Amino acid sequence: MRLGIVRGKVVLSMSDPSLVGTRLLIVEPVTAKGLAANDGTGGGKQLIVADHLGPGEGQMIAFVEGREGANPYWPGRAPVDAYCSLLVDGVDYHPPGSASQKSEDGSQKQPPR
Amino acid sequence: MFIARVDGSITSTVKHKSLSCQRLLIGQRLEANGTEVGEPIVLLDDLGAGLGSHVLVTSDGDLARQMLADNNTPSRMVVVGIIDSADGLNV
Repeated sequence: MRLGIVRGKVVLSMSDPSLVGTRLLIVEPVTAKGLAANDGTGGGKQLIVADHLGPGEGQMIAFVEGREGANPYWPGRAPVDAYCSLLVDGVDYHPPGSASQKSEDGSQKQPPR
Repeated sequence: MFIARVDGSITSTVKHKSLSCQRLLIGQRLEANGTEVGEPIVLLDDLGAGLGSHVLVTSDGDLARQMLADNNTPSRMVVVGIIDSADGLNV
């Protein structure tokens, strides 16, 4: 799964019957830089993600890519290769070198909310 | 399978039902020499990997389906091991 930020939605007039009832989100994947900045910037290349959960614009989600994106439709079939698995409530991100990972005495510091 | 470093975790309330009660980590895929590859990924973890540890990740959706006992689960990245050492990697 990758993280992404919802930028909008796509509406189809004609579609494959298996996609009826599926929302299609425009999602901008979040890069390491965007996640560290934590200011709503994504930075990745936008893609379309199938969804049943209903996130709002600007909300962060995690989406699965590849064949597993069609798993929720099993045993039916759907031409889906990216699916919104969850809506992100909170992110706790401390890559090495970030100020919040370790303080000088080696103790863990709480990240700013 | 590939190597990833655990950079954090996420919390989520609204999610696919198969993912309830699962530990969700943020991982950064690495080359064996430690170079970061691609964007941060969300990992399922049954083993209890800590922040900063290096893990072996499989992208096999079959394992995720077995682990969660749900054929409909929209997930595929699963932690299958915590790395003690790897040639070229500063663990």
